[in-house]
Amino acid sequence: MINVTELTKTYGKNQVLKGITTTVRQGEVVALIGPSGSGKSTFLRCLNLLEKPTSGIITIDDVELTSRHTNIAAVRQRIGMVFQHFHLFPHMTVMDNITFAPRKVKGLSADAAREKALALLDRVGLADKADSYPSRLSGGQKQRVAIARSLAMEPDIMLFDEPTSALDPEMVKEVLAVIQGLASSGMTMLIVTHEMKFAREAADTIYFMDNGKLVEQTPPAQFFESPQSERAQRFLEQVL
Amino acid sequence: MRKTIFLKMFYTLLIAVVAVVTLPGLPFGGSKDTAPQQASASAADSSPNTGEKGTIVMGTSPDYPPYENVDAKSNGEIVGMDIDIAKAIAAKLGYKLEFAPMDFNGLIAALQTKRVDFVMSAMSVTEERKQNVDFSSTYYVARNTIVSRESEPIDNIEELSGKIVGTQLGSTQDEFAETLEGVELKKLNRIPDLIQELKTGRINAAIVEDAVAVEMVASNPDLKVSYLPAGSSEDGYAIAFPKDSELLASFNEALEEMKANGQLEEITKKWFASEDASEETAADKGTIVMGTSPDYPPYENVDAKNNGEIVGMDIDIAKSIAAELGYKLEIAPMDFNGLIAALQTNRVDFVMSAMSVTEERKQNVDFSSTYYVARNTIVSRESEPINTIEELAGKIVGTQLGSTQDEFAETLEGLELKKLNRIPDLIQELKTGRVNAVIVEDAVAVEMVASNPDLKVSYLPAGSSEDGYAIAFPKGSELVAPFNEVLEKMKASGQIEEITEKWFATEETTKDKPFLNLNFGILKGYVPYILKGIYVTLLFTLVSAAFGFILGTILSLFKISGIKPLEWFATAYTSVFRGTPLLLQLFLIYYATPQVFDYDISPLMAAGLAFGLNSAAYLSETIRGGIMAVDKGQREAAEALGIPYWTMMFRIILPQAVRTILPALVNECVALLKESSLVSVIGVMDIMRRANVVQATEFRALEALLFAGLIYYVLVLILTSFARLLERRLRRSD
Repeated sequence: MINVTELTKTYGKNQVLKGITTTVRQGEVVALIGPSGSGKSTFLRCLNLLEKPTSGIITIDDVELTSRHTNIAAVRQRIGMVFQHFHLFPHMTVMDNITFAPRKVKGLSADAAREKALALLDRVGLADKADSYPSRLSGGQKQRVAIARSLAMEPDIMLFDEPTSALDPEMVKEVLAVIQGLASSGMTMLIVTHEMKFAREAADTIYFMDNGKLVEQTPPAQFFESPQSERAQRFLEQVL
Repeated sequence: MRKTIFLKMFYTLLIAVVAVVTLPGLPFGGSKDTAPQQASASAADSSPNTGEKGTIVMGTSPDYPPYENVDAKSNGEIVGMDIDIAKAIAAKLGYKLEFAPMDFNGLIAALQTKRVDFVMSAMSVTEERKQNVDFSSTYYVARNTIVSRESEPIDNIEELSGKIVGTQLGSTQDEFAETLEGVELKKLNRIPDLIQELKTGRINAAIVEDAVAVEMVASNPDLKVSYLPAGSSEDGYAIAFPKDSELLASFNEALEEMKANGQLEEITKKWFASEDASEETAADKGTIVMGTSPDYPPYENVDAKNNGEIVGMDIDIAKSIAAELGYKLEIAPMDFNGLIAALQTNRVDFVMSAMSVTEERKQNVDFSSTYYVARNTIVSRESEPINTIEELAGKIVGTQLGSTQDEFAETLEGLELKKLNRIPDLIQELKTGRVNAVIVEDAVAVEMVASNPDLKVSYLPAGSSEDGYAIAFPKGSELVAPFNEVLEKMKASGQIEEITEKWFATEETTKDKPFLNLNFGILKGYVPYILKGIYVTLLFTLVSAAFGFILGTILSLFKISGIKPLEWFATAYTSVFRGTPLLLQLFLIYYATPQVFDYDISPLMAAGLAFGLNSAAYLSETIRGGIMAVDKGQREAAEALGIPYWTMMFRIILPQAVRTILPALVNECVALLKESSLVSVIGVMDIMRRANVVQATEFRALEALLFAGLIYYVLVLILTSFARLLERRLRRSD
């Protein structure tokens, strides 16, 4: 489904991604782990062009993202993204946050958008917060709304950029539960995370990145029990 | 779904701007905003002296100019020849006069029931009427005429046969028409109805008296008038009284006296003189615009107590000339220093503003012959009098910038000159001791001293530099010759002298006020006039703020667009508008627009444009800052959702930016509200301008200014508390 070939990204003199090549299958759940500064988030953000790749090719279902002629907005509609800091629109209610893009981008009617939003809110367990403003929500609630907002666009792929890193510990669980539920529904997902336990349980494949390179891509059992590279072994020693 | 409040705010603003710009009645369309511009002809010199014998009530039907009609331009007063005669008689006899307007047909009944003491309403003496009321001797004799359409002219009585003829019910002409045969009569109550019926073809002709016919034709070029042979039924107009009224004898006496001393003739001339002129020149030749600086009584000033009309000697002369030449006169008030520029840019057709002929001016404009010669005087403080030119040595002397006296003062040695724009400023400087004396012309000096008893005036020897005042025209104007002709005629007939006497004779006698520094009593009568400026000021502030905000938003978006030409444009725009004085921009837009684009921009529109453009330059930076302050993640989140750029900008980023910069926006509005006082320099009748007008009229500086200051302060208080309320509503989502 997603094909990445020799992807590099350079900021000035600093090469952050040093040629990444991989393929993500339909329905595959990938957990990206690695030390900070290893390029996990940059890689993720390249996938929906929030960062513009310096070189390399990304294709999604044979649509080449990196081509000049590709309609970026159209591709982005197919890729949902959840941020570490939620980025809800503070001047809109929860309901408006969720319905805004479907109405403006997909042209959904207000009623249809609302109905769908209510279903999604129900799914993330926040049906009673529809008319609240984001400032009234806890971190975990905000992140669940952000997930609902992304899902409202009916994406084929979901990208999660450290979705629980900014949360108080007691709220991590509720968010992970939602993501896990999503994973088991067959959604193609890439998740940058520091939650090793979650990565092990939810992911089909672990991508271990270090210093701008994709060092290992293996099933979680293999990765956590017998990491191949020395770098991965040292990383696991530090975090587990 | 509920729309966001930001969006609502934005749209409301937009709608308000569109509405203001497009509503036809609002002053943005033309130059109507500069207050009522045409002074009425009536001098309104009612009952000046005399003890009170009580009030007498006069019945009249005020739909019959020039005898009596409602002067809608001037507060709805009833004016006309009959009114002037009645006033003169009442004054002579020591009565206070009151008017009871009513339908012509009700006048006799009103007399019979003694609801009125007498009737003057261009009423002619008939046998029938004589049986019910008493008449004075006649005071005017009119002639009958036929008014018809130019396209279907009817010139004599014979041609009337078989036609439908309109008359005013109960008029002499109505009775006359009754005697005609083979004519279908249509009797209407009012002259305007007759005109309407005639123009729409529902009648073929109307029979009315000469003076009325002339007025009808003057304002309806598609009508023509034919005089009927004299003597057909002209009994002349007289004053009617209830039977055996005691007033009759004294009225007749007064009338005789007025006939003998020429007063009656004077009044009829006043009312018919201008009509004759418009008859000669037939249809309206169009409008001519006169520029003047109405802060120089008695030549020209704003009569703030009377609806803000501009009145004065120059105005009267201009009106006479315009009437004589068949033009409609419009008056454009502006600062004295802007007059020459206005001529050069053809914003006005001529200038009369007590302007003297100088060599410098001659190079830029053409002048008529002089119509008045003034004398130079020194005005000083009573406590430190300065009586001669010699005494001026070593002193600080004030002059009005650009005046003849200013040039004269330049020739004096050993003194320090201080040039100010306006006479009221001179007075203020003199009273506070910042100048020792001012040099002004005699008429002005007399008025200054009249309202400031602590000042004194000394006349300078004649001939020091008095060139006399003349009318100025754009170079090569075709108006110079006809104006000169009319001026000569008016000089020959004594009309000029009459007008100057009128304005110089009525100088107020010194008000012996106790020596007070402030006297808010003078504001009495002016308060509504000044308050009317609030509307202009607020309208102006709203328009320029909205315009500035919208343009500023567009510019700020240009600046962050990443498209180089747009960025350059926005940066250059900001640089230019921030880097030059607002006042200069205002002048440029106002004076340059007609010259460059051939579009006669109204002062209010020019001001709104200048302030909006200027404000946009500042706001674009403020808004840009606000946009930058919005979390970068907001943009990423919107992009990740596939929301298009402009939707994101207007719906996600800008609403958050505006909330951040709201205090700065309120500041800008407050600044605009206060800076709006600058627009008074191009003649917009805002609060400040009106205060200046009162200042100029009363020759007292502080009171009106303090009052204006109070209004501004209250407006700002209201604005800021409104803003606080808005801010609280916007904080709802926090």
